[in-house]
Amino acid sequence: MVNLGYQKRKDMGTGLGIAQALDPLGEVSGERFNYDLTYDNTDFTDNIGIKAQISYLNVGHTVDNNFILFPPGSTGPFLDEFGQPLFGIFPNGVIGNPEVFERHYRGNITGNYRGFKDHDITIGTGYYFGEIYKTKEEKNFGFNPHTGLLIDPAGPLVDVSDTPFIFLDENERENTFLFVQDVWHFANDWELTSGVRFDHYSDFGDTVNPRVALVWSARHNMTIKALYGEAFRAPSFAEMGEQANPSFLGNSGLEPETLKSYEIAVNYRPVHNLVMDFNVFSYKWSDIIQFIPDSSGTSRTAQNAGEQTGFGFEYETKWSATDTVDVVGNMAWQKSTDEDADKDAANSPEKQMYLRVNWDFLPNYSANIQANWVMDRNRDYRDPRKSIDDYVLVDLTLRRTNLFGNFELALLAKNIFDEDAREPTPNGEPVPFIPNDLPLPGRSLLGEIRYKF
Amino acid sequence: MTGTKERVSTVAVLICRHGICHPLTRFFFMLLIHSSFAGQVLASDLLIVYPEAPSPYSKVFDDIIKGVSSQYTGTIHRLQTSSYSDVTDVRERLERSRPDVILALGAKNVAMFATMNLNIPIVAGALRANPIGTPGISIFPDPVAVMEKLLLLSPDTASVFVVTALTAENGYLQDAQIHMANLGKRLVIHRVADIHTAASRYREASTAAGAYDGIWILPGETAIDNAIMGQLLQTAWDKNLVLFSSNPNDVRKGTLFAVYPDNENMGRDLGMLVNKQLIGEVVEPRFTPVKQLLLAVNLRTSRHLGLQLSGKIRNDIHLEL
Repeated sequence: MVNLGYQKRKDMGTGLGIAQALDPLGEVSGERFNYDLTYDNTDFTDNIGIKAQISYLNVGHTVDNNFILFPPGSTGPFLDEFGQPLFGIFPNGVIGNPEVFERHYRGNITGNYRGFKDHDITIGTGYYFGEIYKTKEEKNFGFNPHTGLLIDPAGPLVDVSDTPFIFLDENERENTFLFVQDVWHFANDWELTSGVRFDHYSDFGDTVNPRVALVWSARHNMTIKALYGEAFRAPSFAEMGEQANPSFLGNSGLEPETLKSYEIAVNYRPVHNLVMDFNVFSYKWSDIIQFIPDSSGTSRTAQNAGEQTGFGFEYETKWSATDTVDVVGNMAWQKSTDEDADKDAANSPEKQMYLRVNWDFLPNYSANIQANWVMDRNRDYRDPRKSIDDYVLVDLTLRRTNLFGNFELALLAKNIFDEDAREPTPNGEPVPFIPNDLPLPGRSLLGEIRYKF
Repeated sequence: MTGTKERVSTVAVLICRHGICHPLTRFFFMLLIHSSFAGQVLASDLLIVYPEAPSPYSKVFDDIIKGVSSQYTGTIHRLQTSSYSDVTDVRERLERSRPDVILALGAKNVAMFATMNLNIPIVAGALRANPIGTPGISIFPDPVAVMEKLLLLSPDTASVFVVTALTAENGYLQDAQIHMANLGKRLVIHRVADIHTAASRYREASTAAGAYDGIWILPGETAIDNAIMGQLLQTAWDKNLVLFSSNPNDVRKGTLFAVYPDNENMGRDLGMLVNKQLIGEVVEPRFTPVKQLLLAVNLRTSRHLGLQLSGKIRNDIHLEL
């Protein structure tokens, strides 16, 4: 099977701004091309299944309109130890136009062997090569690599591409991996899955991650699972290589983040039309990559600085109340601790609830109401702001399917009670850049037309 | 159509004397006859009448029609009927399309043709029982094939219990009973008058059954509701019974397996029946259970029963749940 994809996006704004200062003018365009070729034969022989895939991805971002990192008339974040501006006033704003072009090649093959009694064995290996093959930047701050002097904040933009003053060097990374997994049906109703994955990265070395899962089919309508797993997240090119950026600097000595998690999960279907899933979990997340403020106070450098632990539970239910009414609900509670500070971890909600009711009230017509409660989000313990408010968002949708064959029409009313819902912004020194958090859209009415080919 | 056959026969009589033909002559005539029939099919018109259905059920009819199209080389006309369609709509369409043969899909459409007294050959499909006696294929899976699938998955099964309606066509089940008896096993058929008695019989059968005995849930008049299905699933789990049906959704609930129609291949068989109708070939038996079948298996249930599904058996499984 072959998949080919191409995506071109133009005139994209910068959202909150690249440096958390609103920028109504900055625009970027993006181009993405990908293909993958998959061979999948579950019945290669009676006992062997094989799956192989090669893929290619090319992504590029080009700045169409200058990124104004900090607005005209400001001094930017460049202050000396006495709090005085380093470069003076930027009459056109602090401008930086970073452009990145990446290529990623992947190949992997997985074999599944069912020939041993009570065992299902899977072995896989793969190779990855990724490179940032081109980076470009123009800017009006920092050093001019051509003169060795400071760039004039009021002067023209200076191209720092292919110099040490560019925000990110061209870079590459190779990764090879090997994994083995065995599903062992060691007794009727009991299954033990164990696996281990070895990864070698050309830039930061090796990592080995095991996982194990014990599954018990306790009743015809109940399954209980106990799981343990280790995982990692490799540092990104930016986290390792970002440089000459006024706000964030990379660190080539970074290690991967690691996660160890434990989970017990119960799936129960008391009657045919009701499914309940409950799980409790705990985790330890180590070597978290964070951009830690430097002693200069004006920039932050990526470091394996954080450690977070947490535990909690999740509950989900799906109920087909009648042939035409479906109800889905879930709730989650978690308690996470920033171990370095021994304080509650910031930003993610401690409690969350979701409820959705879908009613097919006529053939091809459906009405849908959903509510999402987000509760108890902590601030960073260093953040001086008061706690952020909880919110409930309620959305309504009316949908007509099968219109003229392949058309579908929908009317969507979002946030129907016009709740003032906000997502937290990060803390900053000495104060957060965006102190009043980010407002989510108020009441809105949307129309949608879909056509299926 | 008849005229072409008569012409061919006349020439054959002239060259073959006393019923003895030269082999090459016979080959020539067979070729002539077949090409004439192929020509008839190419020049003929088939009207497929099928019901409107919401997605994903509409795919059943799309797949059947795809299968028919792969076998039938003439012109295909389609008429999709809705709940508002009546005999007048169909007659109007027959006037316009002037088909040589009709493929009626769905019980309601077939029943409608029963009232129309048409002089056009009809093939029936996508229904359980055929009220008009025309050739066709039932969506009822061939019971002998179902028993074969059962014993493939669970070779230790000695007895199978099934509940069927008093009014149902029982010939197919009797074939399966004979097939099981030849293997030294039993198929016990309970005949009941209504759905309540069917539920009682299923409960009694599950109480009487021993480990690896099978309970076969049939669709139609003796189908069970979800509450009874829940009880049967629990008893089957506790006593290691083999519960099976012809509905893949039951496999999701926990029955060991379901055998259900392979709609596209069933469409091919219907296409071949259409071709036979066009050339006037006699089709016996006229209405048969579907032999093109797919197998869905619940692996969780199979592991609970301790069944060893070899790679070869798993290759036969179309849907693993």
